Amino acid sequence: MRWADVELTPEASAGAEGRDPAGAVLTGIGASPGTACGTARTVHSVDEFSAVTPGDVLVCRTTDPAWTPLFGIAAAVITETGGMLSHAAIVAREQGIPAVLGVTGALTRITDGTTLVVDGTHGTVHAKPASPAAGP
Amino acid sequence: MGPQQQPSMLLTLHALRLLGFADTESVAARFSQDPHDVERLLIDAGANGWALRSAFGGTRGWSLTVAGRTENERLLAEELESAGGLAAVTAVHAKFAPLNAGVVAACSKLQLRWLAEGSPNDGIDEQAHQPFTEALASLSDLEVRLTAVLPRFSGYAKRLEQAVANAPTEPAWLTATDRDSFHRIWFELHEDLIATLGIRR
Repeated sequence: MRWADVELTPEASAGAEGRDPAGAVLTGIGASPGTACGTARTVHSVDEFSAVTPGDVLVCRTTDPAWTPLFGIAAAVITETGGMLSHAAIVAREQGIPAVLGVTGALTRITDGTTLVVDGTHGTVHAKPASPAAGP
Repeated sequence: MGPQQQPSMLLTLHALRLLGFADTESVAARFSQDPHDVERLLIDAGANGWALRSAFGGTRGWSLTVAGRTENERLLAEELESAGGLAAVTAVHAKFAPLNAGVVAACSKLQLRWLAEGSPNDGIDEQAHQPFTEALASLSDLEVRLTAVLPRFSGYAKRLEQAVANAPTEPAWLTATDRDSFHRIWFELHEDLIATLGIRR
């Protein structure tokens, strides 16, 4: 997967506190600790749930009780809203999956199908290049 | 869960909304409807594009589509209108918001402690338990105000009471996703209030 697949708006947004360290593409609130790697699955509504397969990284705006089963199969979760104290954070911790929440514009800044490394301890998300030499 | 209800599309779609993904039996049980009637209503809902039957994680069940959520909210708005309940539910939601912040904080505090120290084998102390018993007491009062206009809101306090009662020896009853835990019930109630008022999370 190409790095450019998750190229972002150049200016730091509200979700990107401070300067991103090299390689950290997106930052948010690390709400459930741990690190996981998986294929990004951008899900806008319940109608897209069937696209999520075990080991995917769930990327969405927010969650409600209908989303809870997805936390049981996802490798990690990224949301645009919420933070340490949100229902999504609690459910992610229960499932033991990393969560980076409050990532502004995650649904538009992350391309579906990109391989992501999600660090829920530090609140960072970055793309995993297919190989060191791979490029656009 | 109370006396048998007259089966309705409102209660069927709303049960699905609250449960997220559930089989016919669970949808029926949520509002004490007859399972055969509910199966028929779910099939109708499926034909209308409001509900979808699928397999998820090895179990078969129903979920609401986006169109189903829209229909659910249309029916809820009608219900609220005819019950004249807007002022009461809005007032309860305003009181619920700070309670919710407290519950979510209490759940998070426990989880972060367990992550740091390992899950407890011997229950939790009184201090950790207290925010939940206090939230339950406040919620019981709010439920009385809700059921005065919309009786279908009954049952939350009773379920929360059970979770609180189980928690001292089995703390998983506060935050777990695999049972009717305090947080799961609370999350469902939050969704119920939001859906009933037609507001966005």
